[in-house]
Amino acid sequence: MTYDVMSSLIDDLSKTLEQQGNGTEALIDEKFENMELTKENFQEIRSDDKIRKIAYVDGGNVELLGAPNFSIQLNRTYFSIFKGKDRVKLKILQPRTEFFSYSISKIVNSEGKQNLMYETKLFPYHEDDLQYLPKQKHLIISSMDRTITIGNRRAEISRTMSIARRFAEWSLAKRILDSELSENDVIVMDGSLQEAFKHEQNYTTPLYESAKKKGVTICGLSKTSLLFTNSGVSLLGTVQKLSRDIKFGRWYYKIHTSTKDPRGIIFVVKLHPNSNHIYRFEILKEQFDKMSDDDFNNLLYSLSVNSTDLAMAGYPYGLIDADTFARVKFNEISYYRDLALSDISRNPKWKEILNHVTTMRVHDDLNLAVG
Amino acid sequence: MTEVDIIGQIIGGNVGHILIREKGGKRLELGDLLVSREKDSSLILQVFNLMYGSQIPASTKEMMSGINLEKKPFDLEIFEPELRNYTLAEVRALARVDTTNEKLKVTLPKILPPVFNTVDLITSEDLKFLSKTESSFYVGNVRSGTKEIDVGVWLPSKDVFSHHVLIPATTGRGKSNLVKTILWHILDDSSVSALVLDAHNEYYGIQSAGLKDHNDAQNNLVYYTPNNPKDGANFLTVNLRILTPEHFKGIIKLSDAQNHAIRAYFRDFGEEWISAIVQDRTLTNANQFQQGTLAVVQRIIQLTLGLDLDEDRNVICHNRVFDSGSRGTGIADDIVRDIEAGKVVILDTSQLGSDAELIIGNVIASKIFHKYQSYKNRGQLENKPVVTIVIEEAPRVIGEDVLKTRENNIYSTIAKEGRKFKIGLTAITQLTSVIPRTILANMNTKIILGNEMVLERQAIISSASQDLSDDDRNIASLDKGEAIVSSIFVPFAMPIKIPLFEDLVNNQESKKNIKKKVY
Amino acid sequence: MHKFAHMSDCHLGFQKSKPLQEIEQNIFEKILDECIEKKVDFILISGDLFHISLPEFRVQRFAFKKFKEVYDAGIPIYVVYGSHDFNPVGNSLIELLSDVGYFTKVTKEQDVSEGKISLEFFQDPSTKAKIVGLSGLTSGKDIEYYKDLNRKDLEKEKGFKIFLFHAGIDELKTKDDAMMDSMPASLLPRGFDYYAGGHLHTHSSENYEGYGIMMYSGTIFDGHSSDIEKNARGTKRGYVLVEFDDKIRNWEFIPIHNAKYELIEINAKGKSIATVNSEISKKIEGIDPSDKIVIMKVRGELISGKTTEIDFSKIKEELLKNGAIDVKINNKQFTSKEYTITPARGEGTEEIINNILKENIGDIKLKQEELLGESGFKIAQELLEVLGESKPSDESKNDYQRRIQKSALKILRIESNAS
Repeated sequence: MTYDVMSSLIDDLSKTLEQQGNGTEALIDEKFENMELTKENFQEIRSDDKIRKIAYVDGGNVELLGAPNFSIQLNRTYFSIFKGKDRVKLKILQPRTEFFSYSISKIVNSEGKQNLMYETKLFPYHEDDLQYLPKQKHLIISSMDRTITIGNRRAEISRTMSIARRFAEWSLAKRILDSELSENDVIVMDGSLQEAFKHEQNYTTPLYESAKKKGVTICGLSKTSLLFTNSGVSLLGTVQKLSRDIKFGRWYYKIHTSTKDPRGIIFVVKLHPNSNHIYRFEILKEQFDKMSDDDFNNLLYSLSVNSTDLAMAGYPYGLIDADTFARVKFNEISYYRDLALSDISRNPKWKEILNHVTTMRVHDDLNLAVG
Repeated sequence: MTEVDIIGQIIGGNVGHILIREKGGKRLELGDLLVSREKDSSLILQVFNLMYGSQIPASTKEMMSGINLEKKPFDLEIFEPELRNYTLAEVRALARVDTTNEKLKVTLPKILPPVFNTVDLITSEDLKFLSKTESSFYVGNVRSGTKEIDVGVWLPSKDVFSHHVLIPATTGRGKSNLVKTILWHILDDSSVSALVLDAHNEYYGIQSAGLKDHNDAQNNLVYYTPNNPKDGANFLTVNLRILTPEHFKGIIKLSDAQNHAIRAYFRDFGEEWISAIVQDRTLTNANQFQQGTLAVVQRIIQLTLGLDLDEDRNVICHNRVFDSGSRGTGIADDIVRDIEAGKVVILDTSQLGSDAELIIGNVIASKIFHKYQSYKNRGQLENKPVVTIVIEEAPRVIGEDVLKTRENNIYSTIAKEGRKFKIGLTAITQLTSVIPRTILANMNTKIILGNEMVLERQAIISSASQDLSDDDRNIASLDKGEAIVSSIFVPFAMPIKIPLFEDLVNNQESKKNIKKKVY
Repeated sequence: MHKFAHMSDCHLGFQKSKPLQEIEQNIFEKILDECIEKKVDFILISGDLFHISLPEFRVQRFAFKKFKEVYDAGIPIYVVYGSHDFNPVGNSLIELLSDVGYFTKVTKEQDVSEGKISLEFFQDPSTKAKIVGLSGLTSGKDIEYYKDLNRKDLEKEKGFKIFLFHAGIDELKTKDDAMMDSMPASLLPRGFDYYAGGHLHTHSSENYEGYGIMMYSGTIFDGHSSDIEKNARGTKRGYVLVEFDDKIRNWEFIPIHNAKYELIEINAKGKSIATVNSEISKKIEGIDPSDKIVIMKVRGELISGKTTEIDFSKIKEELLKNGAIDVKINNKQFTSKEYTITPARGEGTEEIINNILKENIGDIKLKQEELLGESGFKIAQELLEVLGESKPSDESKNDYQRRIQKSALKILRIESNAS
């Protein structure tokens, strides 16, 4: 009986996907002018003599303890610099920064209305690091802010989890640019260059300005993408399909022609012939516009040379490295969580704090009860 | 310790299994000795297991390998390989050396080394506590993995030999070389003497280098052979009259009736009892024995000793060792005298059957044992050298089956009680598992050579003086000339490299021959 | 066919008593007379011809006389030193006899290879037999020479060869010789036709593979405290006569009668002194000692009484009075419970001796108090030292005896009489 129901579901889904087809354009945003999805748009990434120095930036964060009204986080940012396959020794900066944070809900009266705000406070290991981290004032956001809500519902406090970390990545990128890089070097952020949160511009703008001034190119590489074609199917999937008959092993595909938004131009790239994956690649528009085809090819070629690690062909080793050291691993969570709990237990008001935590653990308890 | 010397770093584990990450470019070996240098002491560690460690998940590595093998990409490689793939070594702590003390006191390790402490390979400086003491013998140099450290391992002769030595080894692992090396050093030391039953005639050095090449061989080495003895060697001739039924006890298997028959012959014919058996002389009370019994006894005696009759019904011996005439009456006394003088006495028993060899050994060993017993009773034992009896294929006399089915023999007596009288066994065997644990436990020094048999390794490990439970792989992979010394007289189970005997001979200082005046 | 005589261990000068001295001389002269009579081609003497390197004049005289006769008969005598008649500085009668030509010492070294002793053969002019040998030295030191002997060159030599030596051979030792210094036969060069051995006093012979006949002719009469007892038990003494051409054709042991014996053995184990005394008396009564050498052997531990309660001097006197040629008392293993030596430990002989004295002096019961306790110990020490002094070679025996006696009596605070 169960088998029959599943079969009919699969059949129906297959038919629907088939009907959808690939689509003819990417469905990105009304700000972008899309290009037709065609095989002719694939461009080869050609070999080059010069290799650029590339800094890779990534971050990670995890909730240690959470309640409906607060959340304690551990945050990390990390970077490394490679030139081709070789790691470049850092001049000044420490590669990894770690800081704790908590976000708390607050009622703020504004224009006669009571707004539930989420405020995040940062606690770095070294007090000196605070100057390089996001400012407190930028870490206050309304629970109804569109950048964090899902539909019309109030955003949960956990949605603010990654804001501080995201802003810290931008700050780090700026510091890297200032201290470690020179003209023609590149910064690759893990993820999109698109601003997602309120106040994020306070961090992206100084970075982009400095980058333009110094001649350091800012890029972003995303492993996943929520972009669709105009037929409702995955954009990356469609481009992947189109690339099947392409003869060259490394290529890039521009998915829109021009834009009024100065942020990233979006490409899809394949950085190694043996790679099973393609990635969304963004580059700052202003910088792209000033680049020749050869320059752009050189940039992508430099990236592809760093993408020849056997562990994940076609993905930059710099980002693998950054992910390894930025990510908070599962076995670290319990250590930090226990640290937090032990400090809580020393606090006279610990009972009250734990009450909040317990309300969130209903799901956990339910899981335990029903298995 | 300089940056260059660091070979790894302690990253975790527990007391018996400390985990070390090997530094890139270095190559740790099984059995390597490492040192963790701490504030007031050094901790000596030994590698007993090596494993792969990796930051890359197993499935990813399998995939990477697949790409490499099947797709043969020309430009894909592992980035920063030394960082992401490395070797982990499981080590155990052997000893803690107090470096504040000039004497370098060595104790059993009781605390863990600090996490992230770096380690380096052991050097001769770290082993200064191993020094040659008065009256000690050399077994080899300390070995770290396959590397030889220029530090000798000297064992205290008198203690070691009186507490028995076991040399478990399978064929081709360098056992003869080891025994020759040990005996070579005993030749220098008159506080220890040795009686060697040389079943393969390999120690004296007939065809190749041997103990005869020692500078003091003329004075301290005595060699008995039935074959054309040359240049100071003695004829191995044992007069039948010095054998008694006691000497056969525990060596050959006899039924009660056969035992009675033998004793009857001894009663009737005294010293001539063996000749009487071979010559078929009539017993006084012959009718109390079945003819079959007497015939079997005759056959056993003849076969065991290689005896027969000539045309004139004189007893002759095929292997020319036993004599019914006047030769060889004093051999036991001569050998015992040499033993008491601290010499090494080798008996070439290669022409003899196993039982005959053991009987001859019994004659001499019993004499020594009883003499030493009386010395002890008279308070004179202290001035006598320790005696070791070197015997191959030891299970013939101390194996479980033998001890269960036959009476005790002198060798098992020595194995159990010899220590009280400064007499010990040096037992060589391929089959440790058949020797009872009670005897193995008494053998306080084991020089373990390579052994590919699991059962044997387990028997050795379970009776060792130190915890060798993690050394199973180590023992299996011991190469020729490599050994582990497990003894109550060493601070920890000592891995050694035994020198090539020929090198010992060649490196000997040439003897200055003092010109003698001929009168 | 040629022949030679092989004799050894004559120990001329060993005997103390006149009758035994006469026997010793008679046997010696008889053997050489027989050699002359049998017209042997040469004589081999394998050491210990004399009991000491320079025996008393009496011995020198008769020895010289007899050897002159042999020399005049044209019979060469080939010798090696024994452990007794050897002298490191050459003050030996053997040297004199060699110098005058009566003897040929067959121990000549060729200076060939370093560290190895290479010997030169002597060839007997009439038989062409090649003879070579090594001397015996004191305390078994000769074994060191055999270890360095260049055997190969000796073995290579062709012809009829004789090796003359004075040393015990392990393989030929009997039970009685167990404690003697000896060496393995393999230290002798192989392939000789005859090995003329001395040092072991009992006649024996053996053939080993690769070697010719190894022969001990044995002592001709007596040269050791145990020899005379063995004679009494029937051991034959004499010399060996060998016939040969290019090889040994025949050999014969020629016994020479030396004396008649009476052997009295008393087992004192578990008996009282009175019982032993009575037994001795009975046995003496039961024998006729006239013209015999009487040997009395008393052994065993008395259950009561002291060994000193038997007057062996008196017994000896009595037997001599009754016609015994000589009386030998062997009471080395005769002990009493009342007085046994407690062994003691120590490093070195001197310390052991001192410890023995100290440990045992308390057991001694004597009237003279000065011989007991600490003073007794001191006296015993001094006496041992004086009595242990060996006779210098340039001092006569009589002078030596007188001097030692005087010193000993002085220690005992006893006045010595004239001589």
